[in-house]
Amino acid sequence: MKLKSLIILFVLLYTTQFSFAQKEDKAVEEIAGLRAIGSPSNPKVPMNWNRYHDYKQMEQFYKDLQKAYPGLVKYESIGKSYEGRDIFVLTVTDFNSGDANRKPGMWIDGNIHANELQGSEISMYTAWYLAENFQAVPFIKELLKDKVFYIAPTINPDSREYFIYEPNSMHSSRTGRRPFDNDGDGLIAEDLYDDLDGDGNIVMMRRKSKTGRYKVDPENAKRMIIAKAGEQGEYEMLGFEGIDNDGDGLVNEDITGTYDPNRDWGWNWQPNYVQNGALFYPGTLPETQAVKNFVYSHPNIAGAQSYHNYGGMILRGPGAAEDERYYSRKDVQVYDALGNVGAKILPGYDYIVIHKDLYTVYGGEIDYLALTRGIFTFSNELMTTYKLFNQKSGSGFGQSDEYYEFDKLLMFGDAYVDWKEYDHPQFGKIEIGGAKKNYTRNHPGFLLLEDAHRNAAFTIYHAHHLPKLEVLDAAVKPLGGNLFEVNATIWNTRIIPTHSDHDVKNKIERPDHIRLEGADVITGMRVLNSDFNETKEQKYLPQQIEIPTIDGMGAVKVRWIVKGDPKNAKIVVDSHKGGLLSKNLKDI
Amino acid sequence: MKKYHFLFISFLLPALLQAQWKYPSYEQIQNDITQIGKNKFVTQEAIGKSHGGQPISLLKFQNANKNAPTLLLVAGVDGQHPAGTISALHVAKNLLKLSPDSLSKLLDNKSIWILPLANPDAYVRNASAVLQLTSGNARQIDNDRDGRVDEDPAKDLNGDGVISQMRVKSLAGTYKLHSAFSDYLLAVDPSKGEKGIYELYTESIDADKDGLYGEDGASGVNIDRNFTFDYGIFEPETGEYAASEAETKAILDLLYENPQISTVLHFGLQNNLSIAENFDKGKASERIIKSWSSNDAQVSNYVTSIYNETVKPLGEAPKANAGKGNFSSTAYYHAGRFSFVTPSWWVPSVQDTSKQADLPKKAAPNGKVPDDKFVSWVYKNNIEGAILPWTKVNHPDFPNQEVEVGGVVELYKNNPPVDLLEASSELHSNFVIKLVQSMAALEFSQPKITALGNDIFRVEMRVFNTGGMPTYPEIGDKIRHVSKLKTIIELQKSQQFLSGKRLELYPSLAAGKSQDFSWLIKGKGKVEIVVGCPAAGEKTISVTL
Repeated sequence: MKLKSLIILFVLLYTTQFSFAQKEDKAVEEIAGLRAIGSPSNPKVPMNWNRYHDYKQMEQFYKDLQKAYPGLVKYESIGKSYEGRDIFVLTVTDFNSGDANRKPGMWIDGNIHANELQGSEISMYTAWYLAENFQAVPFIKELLKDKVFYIAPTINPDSREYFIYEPNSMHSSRTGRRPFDNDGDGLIAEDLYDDLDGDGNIVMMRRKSKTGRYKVDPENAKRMIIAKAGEQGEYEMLGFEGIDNDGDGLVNEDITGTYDPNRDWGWNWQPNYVQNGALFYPGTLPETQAVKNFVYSHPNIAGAQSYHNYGGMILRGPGAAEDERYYSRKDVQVYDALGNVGAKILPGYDYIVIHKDLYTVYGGEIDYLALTRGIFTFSNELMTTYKLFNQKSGSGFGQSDEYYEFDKLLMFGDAYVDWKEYDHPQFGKIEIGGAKKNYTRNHPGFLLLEDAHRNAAFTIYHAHHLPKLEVLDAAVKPLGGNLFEVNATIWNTRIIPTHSDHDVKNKIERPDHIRLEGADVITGMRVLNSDFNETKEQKYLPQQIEIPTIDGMGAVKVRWIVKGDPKNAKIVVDSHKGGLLSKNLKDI
Repeated sequence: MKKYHFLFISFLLPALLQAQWKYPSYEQIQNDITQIGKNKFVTQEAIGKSHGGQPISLLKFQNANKNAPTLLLVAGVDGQHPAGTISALHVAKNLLKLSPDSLSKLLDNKSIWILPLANPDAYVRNASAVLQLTSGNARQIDNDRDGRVDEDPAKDLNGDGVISQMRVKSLAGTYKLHSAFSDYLLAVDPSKGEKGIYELYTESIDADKDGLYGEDGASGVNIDRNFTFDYGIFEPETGEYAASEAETKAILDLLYENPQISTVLHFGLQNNLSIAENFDKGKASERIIKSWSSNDAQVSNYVTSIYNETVKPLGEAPKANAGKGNFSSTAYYHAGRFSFVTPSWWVPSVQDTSKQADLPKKAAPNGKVPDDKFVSWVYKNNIEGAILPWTKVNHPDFPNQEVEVGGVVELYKNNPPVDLLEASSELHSNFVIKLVQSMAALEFSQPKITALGNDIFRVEMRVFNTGGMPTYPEIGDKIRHVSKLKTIIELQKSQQFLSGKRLELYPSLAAGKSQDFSWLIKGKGKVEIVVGCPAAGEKTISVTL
């Protein structure tokens, strides 16, 4: 076995060009009995995937991965956040094969909502998995030869850091760090959360009250439940830990941000009275602009995934009902083909539509990618109560007791802050306690690795089905005199077309070009039906036939009439989302 | 001889055209701005840079109070409207012609900020070479979205230095000669059995062979179609998405970061001044609001009455509805400011046409009234270069057809020879002054203090809006980024509220209305009260309990 892998290595070294061979990443030796299927037993970059990472640890991981796999991984900063942190993108592809930026690209980002930490870990895991399995798994090797991944583990680094190191609840720090006057009083960020007990978690406040409607769950002292109709309660709930710092009678109403970075994007953008969380205009935030500029400078991006939490969903657009008209049946079929497989890969996750099954979103990133740029985009809402006991839960977030039971049986009480008394300047004698910020929305450690792999597998499936163009056949036929006819068929062997239907209708991306180079082209045409010689002549620049799209699993035929034997000519297929392909006529 | 004659025309004609149209060069405009900026009442700033790197200049007419409620005048957003820029500069100069006392008084509690050229790239491009006005900034765009940039521009086929019309004699034509003016073509009305003899195009060739003529030239993103309200995605010249352009962002940042701007006036290609905004209950109550609120529409009516009275000598202004992604609509619907727009000059409708019997008296068959107004204005006032005689050209796309170039030079419709802008600008200067004087002005009553005994005090005060307009439009109450009418009371440590809070927000205060405030405070000592809002003025009052 060992000998065999050495032979493979030997062959590899001599079949690739020598200059590249020096950069080629060597296979790590694996012992079959140690390798758990699918995972490296001896990774070059050892990682624990059952924990979260801060900004510094993430950058260290990028450095380590790039150093370990220089032929597969490059990381770069694509811009700065509001507070000046770098927004990093890992480019993962086989750099020794083809031009990375001309391969069909898969964009993955995470953590746009900073409290939704695990999108970053799952993105990082994806990069790590691809690099560490490149030699061991032929499918991955071919994938990275054909495709490129652009992975941005966090596109909101400021607020991630703030969530991790400053007092927050599981819901807070969804925003970024740019301060705005949220309550319209002309002052900025003057009423923040207050970590009253200084434990880094912003939990709930409760006060004993005869008129309160809450009582302690007799089954679990940590849990507050609503008293039954006709039954007297013991407590009133006073919201998240905080005091009224600015004397307006509201607690924590002017925290930093409270805008939503996922309402800052250039598709059907609406102001804050229509869409809460919006700022001045799409791209008010530097983080949005950095990602957007990267997307425009990489027209090869054909698929995208943006990680959120919570709820176990594989979401597709549109965010608003009126934009349903931009999703043709043909495009929906492509989404369905991928989404339904995703639902199988991710037990407990449902494949659904944002505006129908979640809520309306104007100016969201998903719509920007899918509709402004015509990229087939999913957004996974990570973590679901299904994962707690591998079964569908009876009721939704907050009402379910599964979290309390899971804490008791599997976390042994680590998930909650016990209720304790506190003397509050406005509320008087209260008690504070409740779920820690990393519980409920973010995965518990041991579940993180599993979900990381399942989600990575879904993006790999998605990336695999980005267009792959091949010259199926090409033939030269003499027409007499010195004239020749060249016919060629180009096909797309994957599910995703080079242009979505929406893209074709609105001309988002330029058409695909099929060129005949090195021949004296007199005229050129698209062959609509070769059996009945139905053609469409192209008068302008006939050597380069323009094709609106090459459908998934579909083919197009083109024909040129040329002067002179085109024996040295080559066919170039040049598609922004479908890649660049060049074949000599005589080799086909 | 004939050839000689042709040369003569082609050299002389542009000079003649320029001689009457004669808009200043970009350098002259910049020079004007700098000169105005030197006045002691004026500060010149750049609010940002255009896509092409030109500064976007703002002239701030203001007195000591830098935070006074402000009228913002914006022009030159759409590059096809240099007349707006010239008019805005005239307004600036006319303000400086006021006596220092009057100007100082005008600026006592108000400021006027003038942004004369929001889209400098367009001015730079349009002022060079062939006379043709295009809208956008310097961004290279693929206007017809075919993957090629600027491959099919308009082309000056007869070398007269101007882009006019191109007519092609054709059985399939839909245009005919005007009965009185042979240089002017009218669209036929097929429902009346009329037959055309010409096809009409912009002077150009179909360089990319897509059947369209001059559809993709160097014109950039039209800033007045790049704003966020009702943005038209995937339409020509709108950009890739709303507010994609540096100019758009600079103007929006200026609005959002300066809550004292209560009112925006735009010299542009729409008109909600001579014809007021209409309240549409249905559109005003949808989730995405598309009508001014009832109260705001009443303010619009009020301003319209001032406007029509002030500019009466110019005659009736043409109706020009808002389009998609316009600056002016965005300033109201998204930024929450009173927002008015007027072309500031238009083809005069008060023309004595009675003596010219053959002039059309009513709408032309195609219903395009302004066109006929335009024709009569051109001929009556002998506007040279606005409608050109037809000259034959050889056209590669129509090898065996008669092709002529001439007819209407589009740019004259909104941009008359520059000298004609003086009179209209003077009237608009008067309007600017009246509008500033109509803006909300808050007066504050001296607080009334009642001692209730035991160190308990009731503090009451009242604020009046003595202006002609509300503090800010009603829609502003919905918008987080509009700074609201508020009271802030700072107490001493020894004092406490028995009733009331440190901070209270109130809705917009209408003209002639007042708002009462009252607090119960326990404890002696000094109390500081801040009342008002940036858009209408704020005051800090100290009282001792």
